[in-house]
Formats: sequence, C-alpha cells, structure tokens
Amino acid sequence: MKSKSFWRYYFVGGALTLAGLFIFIWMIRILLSPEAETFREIGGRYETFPKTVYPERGNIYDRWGHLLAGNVETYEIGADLRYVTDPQTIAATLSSITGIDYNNTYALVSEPWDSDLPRYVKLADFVEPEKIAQLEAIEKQLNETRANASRRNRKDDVMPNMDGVIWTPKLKRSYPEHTLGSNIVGFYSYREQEKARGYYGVEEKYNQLLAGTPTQVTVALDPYKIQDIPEIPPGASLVLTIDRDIQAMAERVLDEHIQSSGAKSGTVVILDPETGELIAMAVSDRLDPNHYWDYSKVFPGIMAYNRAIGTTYEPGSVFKVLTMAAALDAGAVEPSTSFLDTGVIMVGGVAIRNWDRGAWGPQDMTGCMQHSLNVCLAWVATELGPSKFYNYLNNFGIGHLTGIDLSGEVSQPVLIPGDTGWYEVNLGTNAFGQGVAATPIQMVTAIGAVANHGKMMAPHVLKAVIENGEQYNNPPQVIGTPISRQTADTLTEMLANSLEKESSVALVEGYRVAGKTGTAEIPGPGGYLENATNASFVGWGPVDDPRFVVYVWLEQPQTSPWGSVVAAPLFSEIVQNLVVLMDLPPDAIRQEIASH
Amino acid sequence: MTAHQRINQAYRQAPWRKATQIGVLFLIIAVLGASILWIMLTVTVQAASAGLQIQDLEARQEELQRSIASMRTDIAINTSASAMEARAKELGFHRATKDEIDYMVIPGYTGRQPQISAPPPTASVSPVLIKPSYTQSLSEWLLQGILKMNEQAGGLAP
Repeated sequence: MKSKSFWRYYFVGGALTLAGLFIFIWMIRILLSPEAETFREIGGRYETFPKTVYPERGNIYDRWGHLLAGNVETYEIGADLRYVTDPQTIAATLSSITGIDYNNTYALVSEPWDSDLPRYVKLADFVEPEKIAQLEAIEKQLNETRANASRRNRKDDVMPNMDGVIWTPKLKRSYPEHTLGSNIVGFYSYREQEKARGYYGVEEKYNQLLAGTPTQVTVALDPYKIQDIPEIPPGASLVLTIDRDIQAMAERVLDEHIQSSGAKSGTVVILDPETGELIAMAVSDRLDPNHYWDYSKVFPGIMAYNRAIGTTYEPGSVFKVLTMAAALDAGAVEPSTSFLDTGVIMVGGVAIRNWDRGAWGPQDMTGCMQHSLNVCLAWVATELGPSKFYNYLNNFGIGHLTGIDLSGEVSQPVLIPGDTGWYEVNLGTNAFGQGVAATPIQMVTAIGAVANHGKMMAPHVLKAVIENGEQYNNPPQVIGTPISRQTADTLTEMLANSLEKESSVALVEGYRVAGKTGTAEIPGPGGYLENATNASFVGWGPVDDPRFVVYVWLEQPQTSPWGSVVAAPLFSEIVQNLVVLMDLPPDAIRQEIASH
Repeated sequence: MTAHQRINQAYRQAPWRKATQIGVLFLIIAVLGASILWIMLTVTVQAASAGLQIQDLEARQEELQRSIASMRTDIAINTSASAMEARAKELGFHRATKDEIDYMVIPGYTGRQPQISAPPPTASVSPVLIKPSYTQSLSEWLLQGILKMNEQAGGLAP
C-alpha cells in the first residue's frame, strides 16, 4: 500500500519533470531555428518607431508683451482603413462639419483594405477644435445607438458609425492682430508641413531661431522599454521694438490720408533716433498673415511686401537735409552764408531751376531750406564738391543696405564720378534728391543721425530674444558718425526755425519739431512722368531732446502733388497721436518737470 | 540500551518524522520559489505600469503645452488692438487728444515698464539632485573612498 502510494508520486513528479524538460528543449529549438531571426526582426519593427518632434515655434511680441505671432491648436483628420465599416456616414459627417468634398472623402475611405497592417488616409487638415468637438459628439451618439441596438440582438446589422476615423492634434501659426504690422512680422507657411518656413519680416529673418531644432526620438511600444522622451525646448521667442498701439495708430492715420489724398500707396516709419529702435513701420498694402496664401492677390506683380525697406524711390527735397548736413559739416557753408537766388543755376551745362521756377532773391541757408530752393542746394553741392558730397552720402549709408533685421531689404547704388551714367549735372540734381534713389528706411536712418546729435544708429526691430527662459537683450549699435554733434544740432535748429517761419502745417502745438518736406518727380521709361509725384516729409522732435523721427511718403497723391500739402499734415497728425501714446508731455511741461 | 535510549531511537526512526522533514523541505522550496516569482512579477508589473504612466504623462504634457499655446493666442485675439478699440467704443470711450491730457509728477514713477521680462542669462551650474552614491558603481564608490582617505591623510601630514 505504502510502496504503491510512493510510485504514484514518482510517476507524477517524473511526468512533470519530463514536460518541463520538453518545454525547455522546445524553447531552445525555437530560439535556434532558422526562422527565429526573421521573427525577431518582425517583432523588432513593432517594438519601437521613430518620431520627429518639432518644437513649438517661438512667439513674437511687441515691446510691451502684446502677442503678434503665436500658435493655436488644430487637428488633422484621417482614417485607418482597417477599421472603416461605414464610409457613407464618415463622408457625410465630415463633409457637413468640415466642408470637405463628400465624393472625394467617400472614395478615399471606401478603398478596399484587407490587410492587418495599418493604412492611413488623410481626409482634412487644420480643423478647428470646435469642429472636432462636434465630431466627438456625433461619434458618441452613434456609438450609443449602436450599443443599444447590440443589446436588442441586432449584432449582424452595420449600424451607422465612424469607426476608423482618427483626429490628431497639432499646432499652427496664428497672428492675433491680423494685418497689423504684418509687413514687419512676415508670415509662416504652416500649410507646407515639413517644408514650412518663415517668409519676409522677422519670420524669415529669425526663422532658425523661432523654429528651434527638430529632434528625432525613438518611441517604444513595449512598456518595459519606454523611456522619457528628451525635453525638446521650444523655439526662441522674440520681443520686438515695435509698439503695437503706435503701429495701429500709424496704419490708421496713413490709411485715412491715402484715402483723402488719392495716393497710390503710403509709408510711415517711426524710429527712436537715440537707439535705432523701430517704433512703427506702416505701409500699404498689408497682408493678413493668417491667410498668407492670398499673397499674390494683395501683392500682384513685383510689388514689395514691405515698401519701407523693399522699394527705392527718388525722395526729392527731404534729401536736402543730407546735402545741407554735409556742407555744414565740411565747412562749405554756414547757416548765415548768403546766396542770391536768380531762379536758375547751370551745373554741367544743364540749367537747374526751383520747384516753382521762380527766383527767390537773397537767402541765407535757413531760407534755402525753408523755401526748399533747388538752385541754392545745387550751388551748395557744387561748393562742397563731388568728392566730399558723395563721400558724405556714403557715410550716411545712402546706396547701402542699412542691415535692418527684416527680410527683403533692397538698395540702389549711388552713381559717383567715374561711373557709367554719372554726369556733372548729377551733382546738382542729387543735391535735392533727384537722380538718386533710396528706401524710406535708408532715409530715416541717415536723417536719424541729424536728430541724434551726429551719431547714426543701426535700425533694428529685435529688442530681445527669450530662449530657454532667459532673456538676451539686443543692445543699440552706433554704425557711424557722419557729421559732428555741432553740425547736427545746428541743422536741427535751422530746420525747426524754417518750419516755424513758414507756419508749416507740419507743426504740432506744444512740441517743437524740425523737419523738411519733399516733392519728387517720378522717373519713367522715357523721362520723368507727367503730373505724378512722390510726396514726403521727414521730421523729428522734441528738438531739445529728440525722441522720434517720423518719415512719411505718399506715392502719387491726386489732390495735390506737393509734400507740403499732403505729406506735412500726415506727419503732423502722426506726431499729435504719437506724443499721447508715448506719454510725451508738451515741451513747456517737460522742461518744467526736468527743472525740479 | 536503557528504556530512555530505546524511546529516543524509536522517535528518531519514526516514518512520520521523515515524511514531515521532506514535506517541510518542499514547503520551504515552494515558498521561496513563490516569493521569487511574486517579486519578479511585482517588479515587472510595476516597470510596465511606470512605462505606461510615462507615456500617459508625456501625452498629457504635450496636450497641456498645446492648450497653453492656444489659450495664450486666444487671449491675444480677445485683447488685440482692434478688439480693445471696439470694446472701448462700446463703453463710450474715445481716443484721447493731447489737449485732454493733464501731466503730473508722480514721485517714484519710472514710466511704463515692459510686460515680458525673463531673467538675464547666467552661468549657473545646474543643481545636483541625486546623491553620487545612487549613481556610483561599487568599484567607483570604493575608489573614491580610498582617494578621500588618502587626501585626509595627506591633509593631516605636517
């Protein structure tokens, strides 16, 4: 009895041992079999997958922290054909909610697919979260209906469903201010997916900085092999020197004046002469970067995206500021130097006349600037001589890129003695801004030197970069001292006096400003165009402590061709609003406060 | 052989005692095996659970980052220049002109300050959160200990 009981134990133990041994040997056989490597390879494919992590594109702020460019959540809708059972419902629902084509969607999701491998088809992109919420609600309702039907034993029926539909969240670029400052900000072509990049303005100039570094990581599906995805820092954020409210004001006032003057286009540039910071840069036309694909509609042909940096023009009499600055600095003339204006001067054998073809008699240099006498300024340039004149223009940066940190800047070289196409008369015409072309940013940078006591500052829009939680400030840079402090202050005083003497409409009550009008003929294919001018005005103030330089340009105004009639009032209105937005008290109050 | 010795021998040779010894031995092996299996299973389950938790948290982190970005932009849309101007007009405000403004001296007021200010870059060293003893191997720990002892001995020398 006892031995029989033990035999049973031995039998069970032996059987179990043999079974274990068999399993062990079989496992070794599987591992060593020729197919094992193939299976390991197939398994490896499902173990991990590579994923490219695109960092969030950096934000763009104005100087006070108002967001000019950010990101919003959006969705891509697709379908995994392995699970699609009701193409009709999917196509009808997506068509009604997102507006995509029913037939196309139906064709895409009806594609036969018998494999177990995933087959993803993209159906819609950049769908707003609100529409996804609607889709979720419909899907939930359909699933509930199906569950109820299932309980009523209708398992074999294909109930309406959205099985297989997937929506994946992602970020897209958004511009909360729409067209405001779009010429400065530029746009990001987010629809181009992996090829997306910034175009124009700071979006293009600082594309690499804003984009950050896309990183490829390996994502494990095996829960034992999951590792923390490395922290991918977002792209750097940019703080611009632009003041959103001043930009909005400049655009509003510019648009009103374009409308009232019938001008073809307009530009306003507001610069801090002490730092070179661009406070505002308003142009027409402006694109809403949220709809950047309308680019060719807004800018047909070869129109510049930002005329303030991308279009050169003959500026006319505003250029006399530079001519007079050069002559004063070189000692060729003094403010009291007298000139007898006979109404005509011969330079290089060509007669140069005044804007009104009149003779203004005896004048000093302030009178020449006040009455904007071409004859006088041509004489000043000849007194200075071509070598010094063009050397000063070079030092003022005319003919060179200013290097402003905006994409799309252009420049037109200045013809100098010795160049093909330069004649002696050029010296005379260049003196009053004809036959020489510059962009508004070149003009405002050069004239900014006069406002800033002779120091020319690098114009820039980047105030700071915020990267990895740290702020890197962009300090102001002096790019030259084309004239002395004394020359700059003398000329400022002359131009302030000349505005006051002629009771210019550019004057702003309570604030002493210096400035100069400009009316220029427009070169065409066969000489200058008839009845078409460019009207400009440049001014700065307050004269004792300049805080702003404002440059305005109206292209081909219809109500009057003269800068003093159409551009000067635009300058005045801009400055009247500017002093409010800059918290700049009238001179008397400011000086009283300073004296305490 | 005394009676006491006989009882003692009988007790030692009792078959139930041998069976008990074998049974206890098997029981110990079984308990040990079960314990090892239990520990392995627990650790494995915890590792898998932690892995899935990491995956969930990463997804949640991405979701929150998108949500924050969206909200920031939504705020900007609702406070854009045009939106604020329209709201101000609805409330009966109008643009101030320079004649409507009174300027006054406020001691200590330094003017409008920028809203965004991140700290300037520093050359700070990232703080060490994990003690070296958690990351060192045994050999490294021993080597460092010996070096430390040597340094101390050197320091004490005249």
